[in-house]
Amino acid sequence: MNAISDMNRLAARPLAYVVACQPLHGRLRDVAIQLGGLSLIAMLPRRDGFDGEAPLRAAADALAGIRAEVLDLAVPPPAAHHHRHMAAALAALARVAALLGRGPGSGGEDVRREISAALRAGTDHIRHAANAMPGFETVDLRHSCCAAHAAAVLSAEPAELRF
Amino acid sequence: MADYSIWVLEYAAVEQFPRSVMLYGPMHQGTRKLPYGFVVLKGKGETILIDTGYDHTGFGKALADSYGVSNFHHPTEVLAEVGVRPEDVTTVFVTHAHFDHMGALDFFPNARFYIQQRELDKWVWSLTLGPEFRFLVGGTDPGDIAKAVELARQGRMVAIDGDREDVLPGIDVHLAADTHTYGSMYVTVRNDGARDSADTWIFAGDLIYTYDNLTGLDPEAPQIIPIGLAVGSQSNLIFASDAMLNAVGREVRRVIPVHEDRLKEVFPSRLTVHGQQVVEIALAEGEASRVA
Repeated sequence: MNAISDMNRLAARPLAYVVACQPLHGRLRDVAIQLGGLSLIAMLPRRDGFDGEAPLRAAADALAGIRAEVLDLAVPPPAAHHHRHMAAALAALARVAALLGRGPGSGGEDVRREISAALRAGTDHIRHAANAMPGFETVDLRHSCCAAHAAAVLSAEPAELRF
Repeated sequence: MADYSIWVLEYAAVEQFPRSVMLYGPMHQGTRKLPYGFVVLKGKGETILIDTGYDHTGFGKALADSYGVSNFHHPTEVLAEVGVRPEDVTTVFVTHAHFDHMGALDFFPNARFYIQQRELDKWVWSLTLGPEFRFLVGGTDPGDIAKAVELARQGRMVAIDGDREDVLPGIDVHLAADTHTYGSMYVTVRNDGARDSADTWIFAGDLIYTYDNLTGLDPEAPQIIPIGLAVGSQSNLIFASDAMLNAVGREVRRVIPVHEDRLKEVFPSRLTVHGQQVVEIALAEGEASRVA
């Protein structure tokens, strides 16, 4: 009986990690997309100005918040690999935000190359994290064209009213 | 004789797609097949794609399991049906930034990519609005954006600001703002090269899913019925459809919806061994048919 109880308790620990980490993974994915968009706009020649300061600040703040919560997670051994990729993604994306913060024109080609490499590393780590454990998705498809034919969406009941 | 050979190639499909999304309005009308496809043009020394398909490795299983996307085949395999290799591709027009249209950016090592500036700007803006607004940015793969950034760094990603004629000989692009997406683009091919062409084709991206969007369902009373998915508006979709029809003298079959399962009935076509349609819209001089 104790052995079964111990097994249940052990099995619950990764599950608790997944439940706690899922929203952080989703937020990290969103920040990666945002930093990607800002990087793309910074890389492209353009005639008019695009004020990226506020979104960049928001992305950097979001990263800091996610990092604090990720570092605060209890990480059971089966989740260690996932957690390492989360931490690595955070570090890479923080580097992107820092480089973008210097201004798109500063630093020349070396900085542009580093932005691109760090962004690729960050998004690769997010994908590796999603592959490391069940329960994490690389792409949020719930609001894409695909959602229109998702069985879960088609059969969804109205949400409980909570005003 | 045509300047460009043109094919539409299916690379995956959703067997049961709600009609109510293909045509805004009529609810509870069942489902239709929705192929995923891209367009290949070959001629004038260029090999051109309109959209790229996507990279199945990242989330293919999720697509298959949760969203019913089936029969996926890699662009390399699909392009081979018309004798094209990914490294042959010189230009890609990205009609909009959804994963199934720009999810394979890094498969074409020698291509230059064109997308609307507005598609990028408004999309980044919408990302700043917060999680309550995530409907506006759904379906984006962060890995795709990283690939686009690297292309931009290399000078291979070109952002176009609005309409532009002769991006390549006889090929124009047009902005359809605030429609399916913020900066959707459609591509016009004047296949005789003439400014006032009698051989114009339009590639509509996701501004329409089916010819029925251009004709309605009642032959006695034709009307434009927009698709059901828009971050912009159905009004804008209707007016964009009208503009596309005007550009081809209201000849409906010349406005090509890549998601239309009946293209194979309108143009010469064949099915591959995987059951995917290869549709031949035009053949340039000296080009052998790929469907005969």
